[in-house]
Amino acid sequence: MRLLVVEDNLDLAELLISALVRNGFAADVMTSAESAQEALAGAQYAAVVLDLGLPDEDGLSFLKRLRQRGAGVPVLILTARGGLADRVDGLRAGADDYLVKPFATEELVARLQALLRRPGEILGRRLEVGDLSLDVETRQLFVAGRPETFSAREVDLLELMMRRVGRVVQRGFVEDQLFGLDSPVGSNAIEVAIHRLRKHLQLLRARAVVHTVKGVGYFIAEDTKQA
Amino acid sequence: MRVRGALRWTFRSTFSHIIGLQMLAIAATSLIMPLAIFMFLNRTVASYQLGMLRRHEQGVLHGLSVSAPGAPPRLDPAVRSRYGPGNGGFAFTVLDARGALLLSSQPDGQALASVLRAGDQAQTFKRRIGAADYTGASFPETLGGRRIWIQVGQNLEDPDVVLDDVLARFLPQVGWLSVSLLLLLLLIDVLIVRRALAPVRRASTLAEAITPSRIDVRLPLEGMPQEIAPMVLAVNAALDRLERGFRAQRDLTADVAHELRTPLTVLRMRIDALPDAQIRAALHPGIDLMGRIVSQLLAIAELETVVIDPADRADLRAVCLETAEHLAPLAILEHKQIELEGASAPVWVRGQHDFLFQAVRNLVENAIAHAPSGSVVGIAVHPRGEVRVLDRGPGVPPDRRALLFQRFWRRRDRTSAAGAGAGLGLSIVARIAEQHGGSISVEARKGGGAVFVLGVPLADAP
Repeated sequence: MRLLVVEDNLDLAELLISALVRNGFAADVMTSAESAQEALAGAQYAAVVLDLGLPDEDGLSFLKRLRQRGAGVPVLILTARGGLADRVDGLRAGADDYLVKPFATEELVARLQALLRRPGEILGRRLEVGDLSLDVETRQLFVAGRPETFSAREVDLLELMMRRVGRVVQRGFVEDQLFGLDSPVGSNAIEVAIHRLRKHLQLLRARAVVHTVKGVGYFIAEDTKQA
Repeated sequence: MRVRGALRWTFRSTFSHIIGLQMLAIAATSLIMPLAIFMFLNRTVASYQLGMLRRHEQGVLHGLSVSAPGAPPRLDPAVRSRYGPGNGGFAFTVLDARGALLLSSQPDGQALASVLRAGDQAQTFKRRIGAADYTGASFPETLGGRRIWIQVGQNLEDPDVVLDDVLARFLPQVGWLSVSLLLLLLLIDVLIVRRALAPVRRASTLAEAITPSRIDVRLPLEGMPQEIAPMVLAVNAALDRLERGFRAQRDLTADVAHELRTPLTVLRMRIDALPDAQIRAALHPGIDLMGRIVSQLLAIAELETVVIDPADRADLRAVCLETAEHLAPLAILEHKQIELEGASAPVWVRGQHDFLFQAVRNLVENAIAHAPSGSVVGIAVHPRGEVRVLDRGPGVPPDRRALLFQRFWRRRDRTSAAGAGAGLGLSIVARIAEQHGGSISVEARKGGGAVFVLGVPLADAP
C-alpha cells in the first residue's frame, strides 16, 4: 500500500517515512505542492498525508484543486494550525481527517489505517487488539495466535469495537448494529452480551479487555495490567 | 465594575453639585428679591407721598395771608374746609419758627409733629396721634417776611388711604410667585442637565463592554456635549493604541505556539522511533505536556478574539457525550473510570459546540489528573444548562477556589507533570464560560473530592 507524504520539513518527512515503513506502509515524499501534483498524476496512491504549510502553495488550496479534478484519494491533513475554524476549513476543503501537530506516531498510523478501511477503500483483512485478532473475511478469532470459537453475536460485537480500537463505540450505535431497528431490545440486553464477552475473553486469558463507559458506550483496548 | 462605580459617582456628584448650588441660589433670591422689591416700592411710595404732601402744603401756603407784619396768619376758609373727615385723612398745622402753633386743622389743636430741627429742608415724620398713625412732612416757608413751618400729615388708617395696604398685600404674593418660578427653573435645570449627560451615560455603558475580546469598541462622539467630546476622543485614541499593543501580543502568543508545533512533532516522532520502550515511556509525558501547553496557548489566543453569536446554540448533552467518549480511553489508561449521567434529552444552550467541548474537556482532564487510581470521574448534565464534573481527588480548599481559574495557577503540591493540566486548562474554562455569559465554580464534594460546575444560559430548542 503506497502512500504519498507531502511535507517540506525534511526532518519530519524522514521521520514520517520511517514510521510508516515500520508500520507496513510504503511511502514517497514530496516537498512541494508542485512535485506532489506531478507524483499524483504519475502514480496511484492509497492515501495522501498532506502538511498544510507548504513553501509554494497553501495546502488547503492544493487540496481544493485536487478535489476539483475529481481525485478521490483519501487525504489526511497535518497542520500546525489547531484552531476550530481551521479544522472546519480543512474538512470543507475535502480532507478526510485532520491531525494537529504534535501527534503520536501510533495516532497517525491508526488514523491512516482507519482511512484505508473506509467503505469503498481497501478493507483491512485483520483487526488486532493486544493478542486478539479477527479475520474480517472468515470471521475467525485468534487469541495469541490460537483460533478460538466465539458466538456470532460476540464476533459482531468485537468487530464493532475492534474497528475503532481505543475509541468509544456509542451504546446507541451498538444497539442499532447488533439488534437492528426493527427488533427493540430490553435495556440490559447489550450489557448482558458485553458481560458474557468479557467473561469469555478472561477465560481465554486474552490480553484485550472490554471497558464500559457508563452513560456513553464501550470500547476495547489492550490489557495493560497483564502486559 | 470599579470604573462603573467611579463614573456614576462623579456624575451623581456633578449633578448634585449643580442642583445644590441652584437651590442655594433660590434660597438667597427668594430672600433678597422681596426685600429689594419692598425697598424700591417703599421708596417709590415715599416719594409719591412726599409729592402729595407738598401739593397740600402749597395749597395751604396759598390760602395763608397776613394783614400786617407780625400779625398772626389767617387761612382762607375755602382751603380750611378741605381738611376734615372724608378728605383722604389729610391734616395740617402751621407753626412759627420756634415751633409755636399758629393754625391747625386738628380738632385738638395740637401740632402734628412737635420737635423741629432748624433748617430749610422738608422733614418727614411718622407719628401716632390718638388711635391713628400719621405720616407727614414739615416744610419751611416764609410768610410776610416771617419763617414759618407748614406741616402736612395723612392718617394712614383713613379708609381712603390704600397705598400702604396695597404694599402689604402685594409683597407676599410677589414672594410666592418668585419662589415658585424659581423652583420651576430648578426643575427645568434638572431636566437640562440630565439630558446633557445622557450621551455620557450611554458611552459609559458601552465602555463597560470593553474586554480583551471586545477591544474594538469605541465611544460614540454623536450627541456628546462639546465640553466632553475631547475626553471621548482621547479615550478612543488610547483604546486604539491599546488595541494595537494587545493584538501584537496576542499574535505573538499564537505565532510562538504555532512555530513550536513542527519541532515538537519531530521530537515526538524521534522519541516514538526509539527502540527502548522504557525510555519512550519516560519521555512521552513531557512531550505530551508541551504539546498540550502549545494547544492551550493557541486556544487562549483564539478565545480572545471570538465573540459568541447570540443565535448560536449547542446541545450540552452532546458536548458531554463527546467529551466522555473522547477522554474515556485516557482515563482507563490511568486506571480511572468516566461516567456520564443526568439529562437523557438534548439540553440546548446558547453557545458553540466546539468551545463548550473544550471547556468540558478541560474540566474532565483536570478531574482525571487529580482523581485517585481506581476512582470514577463523573460528568452530570442537568437540563437547566449545567454540567457538573465530579472527582474523588483531594478537592480544592476554599481559599484557593478563586485562584484556580487564573492563568498558570497550579496546585503547589503537584510536582509531576504527567497528566497534569498546564495551569491553562481551567483559565480556558473560565474564559469560555465568561464568553458564553455562563459561570464556573468549584465546590467540595460530599464524601471527598471536588465538583466543578459549569453553567451556560439555556436557549430555545431549534
